[in-house]
Amino acid sequence: MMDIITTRWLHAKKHLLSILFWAVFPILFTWIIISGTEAIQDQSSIPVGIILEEDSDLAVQLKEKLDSSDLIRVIEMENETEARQMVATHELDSAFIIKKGYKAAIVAGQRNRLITSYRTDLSMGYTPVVEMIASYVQEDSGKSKTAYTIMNLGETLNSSSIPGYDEIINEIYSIEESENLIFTNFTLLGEDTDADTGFSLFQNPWGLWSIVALLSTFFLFDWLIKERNATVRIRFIFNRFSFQQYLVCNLLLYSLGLLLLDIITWGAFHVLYDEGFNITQLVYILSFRLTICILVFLIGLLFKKLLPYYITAVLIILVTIVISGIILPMDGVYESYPWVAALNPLKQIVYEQWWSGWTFIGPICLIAWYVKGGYNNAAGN
Amino acid sequence: MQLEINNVSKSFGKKKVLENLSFEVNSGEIIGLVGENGAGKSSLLHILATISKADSGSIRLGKWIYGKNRKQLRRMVGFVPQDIALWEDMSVEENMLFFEKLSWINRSKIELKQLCEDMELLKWKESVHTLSGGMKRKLNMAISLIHNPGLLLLDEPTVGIDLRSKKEIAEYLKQTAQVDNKMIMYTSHDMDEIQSICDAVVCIGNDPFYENLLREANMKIISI
Ligand SMILES: Nc1ncnc2c1ncn2[C@@H]1O[C@H](COP(=O)(O)OP(=O)(O)OP(=O)(O)O)[C@@H](O)[C@H]1O
Ligand SMILES: [Mg+2]
Repeated sequence: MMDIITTRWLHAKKHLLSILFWAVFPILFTWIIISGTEAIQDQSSIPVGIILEEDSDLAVQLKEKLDSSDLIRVIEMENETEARQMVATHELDSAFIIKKGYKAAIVAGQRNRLITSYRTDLSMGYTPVVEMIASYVQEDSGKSKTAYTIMNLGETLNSSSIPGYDEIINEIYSIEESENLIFTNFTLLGEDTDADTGFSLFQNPWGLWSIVALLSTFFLFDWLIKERNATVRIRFIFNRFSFQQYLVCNLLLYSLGLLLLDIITWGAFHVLYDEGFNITQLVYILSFRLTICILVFLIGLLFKKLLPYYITAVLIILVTIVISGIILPMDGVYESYPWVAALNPLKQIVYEQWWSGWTFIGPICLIAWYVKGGYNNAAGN
Repeated sequence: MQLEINNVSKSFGKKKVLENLSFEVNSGEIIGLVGENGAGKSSLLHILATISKADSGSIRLGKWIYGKNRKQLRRMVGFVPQDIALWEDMSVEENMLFFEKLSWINRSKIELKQLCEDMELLKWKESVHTLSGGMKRKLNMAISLIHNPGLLLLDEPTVGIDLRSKKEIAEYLKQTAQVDNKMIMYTSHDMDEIQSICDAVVCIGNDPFYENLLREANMKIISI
């Protein structure tokens, strides 16, 4: 293997720049895109200061609801004077102080002077935030009222099993949540509710990375086309390694090298994006890497010229993007043709599974190619 | 060591290329293969190099038998292909190192450099695509010699190169046959060259024209 590494180095040092570029491209590209979208979101959202004087569940929920809006960016603060200062200097668009006693007032159905606010003439976010708060407060006090009505009703009917206030509120939440689930995921009948349709590919670092990693693997494997179609091939008859052994050793070498980079990526994504860092993920990455390396290798074997190979690589990437369901929802297609989902080369990463169709097809084809080549080799004297 | 070729025949489809060819070669001898284009010279070299198989007949090199001891034979054969087989973007040094790494035997860098210098290939650090045709031919040959083969097969090693390189290659072949006791078989269309370096010739294709030419030149013909 040491000898193969040396021969590979003799080739690689001629294209060091492009190899380095393609090697770091997936992680770099992902980082640029994700930071880019974050920066754009940050810039276009309005900074609004929030001070929580009490940490009751209702107060915290209000803050979180505001934060989940794309329009505004919530900055939690401690000090009222400081917030006021920042509004005055326009560092904050406006500031809202959720007063002590907020929850008690809502529960009591009292809706006045729950919140103090600061703003300037230039506060664009003020009105929308006030409206949002008003509707959330309305919602919460509505729920509260409902709960009391039910409890009163229970008392009037003299029922012995009147649920408590918290129980009713929780029930309301759980009903809301289950309705939301149906609403946002377009779950069709008979389908797994947790089947991810791949819509998140471009918002999720691993999804983004996997598609670029596939592309870069194609470009990194162009040595295969160059070397396989060189006149030099005949010399391998008189070498310790047959040409096939040489190619397979290099496939292994590239796979291991790229896997090492993937492990670095795994750590980097954990640090940068708080992505998971557990052994099962490593299994997905390992399976993904080996599978796509074998797949790209086999596809490379079909080509004599570089240009058609590159074009095919790009087409394959496009098809992969389509069957991942980014452009068009693919739920219907997956339903009628489940193999489409199984043949997605990004399956391991996007759907967090340890295999894709290619995990089995690839090695079988590779072995067939190797055995057939050995047989052909033996046929000559 | 001896190479024995016995009644070897080869055809491609209906076309008979080699017909009942028999001859013997000993270590230290240089044998020229002559015949018109398409006579089957390359075909014979390919069979001897174990790249293709004879249809019938038997061949033996030393104690190894063709068709049985492929692995051992390949270690003993050095084949210089008719088409130049080099990594164009590598230097002379890198080409030599590359094939040394994949070769059966280990050679030091100094030995590899010496091998090139022996045939007057002095541009060690230069990239192959900047070399002249003659230099490429020499490197093409040097790589085939890395594993120190006892039988050297050369397919038109001197085609299309200037007289000086031609002479240098011829000198080298003579030298290595005598000093290193190698067995050399090579093809060429250059009668003068064949006359000056070959101990004997094999005339392929039973062509009276070539046979007369060789008799006139007083060459020893070792096949019928
Ligand atoms: N793989 C093959 N398939 C079919 N025919 C072949 C094959 N290889 C060689 N031939 C035919 O066999 C004949 C001999 O070819 P060969 O290359 O051995 O000739 P040659 O003596 O080396 O000629 P040249 O002097 O042009 O190099 C030619 O007619 C060629 O067309
Ligand atoms: Mg020929």
